[in-house]
Amino acid sequence: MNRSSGRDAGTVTDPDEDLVVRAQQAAEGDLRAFEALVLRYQGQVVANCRYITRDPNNAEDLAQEVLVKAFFGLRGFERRSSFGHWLKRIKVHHCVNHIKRQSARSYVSIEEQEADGFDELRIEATAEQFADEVSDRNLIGAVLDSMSTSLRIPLVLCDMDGMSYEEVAQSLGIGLSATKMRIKRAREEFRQRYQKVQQMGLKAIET
Amino acid sequence: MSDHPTPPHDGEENDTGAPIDMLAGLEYSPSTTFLGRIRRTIQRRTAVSQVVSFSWNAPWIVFLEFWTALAGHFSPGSARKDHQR
Repeated sequence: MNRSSGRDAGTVTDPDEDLVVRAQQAAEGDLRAFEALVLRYQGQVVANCRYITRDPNNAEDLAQEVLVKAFFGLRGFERRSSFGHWLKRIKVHHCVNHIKRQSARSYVSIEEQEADGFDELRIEATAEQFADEVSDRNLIGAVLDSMSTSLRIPLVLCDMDGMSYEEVAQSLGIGLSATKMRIKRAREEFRQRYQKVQQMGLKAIET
Repeated sequence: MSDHPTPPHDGEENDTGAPIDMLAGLEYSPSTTFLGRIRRTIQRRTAVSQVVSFSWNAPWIVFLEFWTALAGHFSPGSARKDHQR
């Protein structure tokens, strides 16, 4: 006879389980447990919002909206996946919807590749800009910003967020083969551009 | 000769290259006011939700309390107490 362990068969071990349960059971107005979760994940959420949308000015606003959505959705969170995983899905949908709204206002489609000439100029300007303080994070940001949306987003979801190819495909609404192809191209492009920006950055420092 | 295009080789389709290690777990520190802004947004929306809920329920509560009070006033127990006075 199986004893109930107090956990649903579909739930997984979650490092944040204790905080999530406390946040779900907290009295109205008591945000301490949820704020502890925010402090754990705010860096990742802001980074994703920053690099997925390529919008440093609104990254914190978007991250704030994601975390507020997570708070009000917490009562319905059944803990079938980990809190981090659940938060990632909210974050991805919110960022992708933001990009779609932005692209609806501008001429550039979410799927469109930006012109290579434009991208080259962006890399050069950014390398000079960071000549005085060349840090890895700045270079990474510059390279990601120079990539097209169709390559940047799968790369961020896969290599930054640790999502599987299937999860990325599902989140973006594209096929698995197309996802793998884009991630492959994105990785190659990232490496080429990063090397180029590094070399340009070093040259700018030396002169 | 087949008109169908040659399907991609299994190895080619699955070879996505090595992950970019420097991206793994990359974080971006938010401003010091970030947590406070989230807190205030949550409190604001909670307060609005409470006001809306109260506005919706208040007429019904008043209505029910009125009839409860009225029923209590005219109930047999109440009439006996008035008579005893």
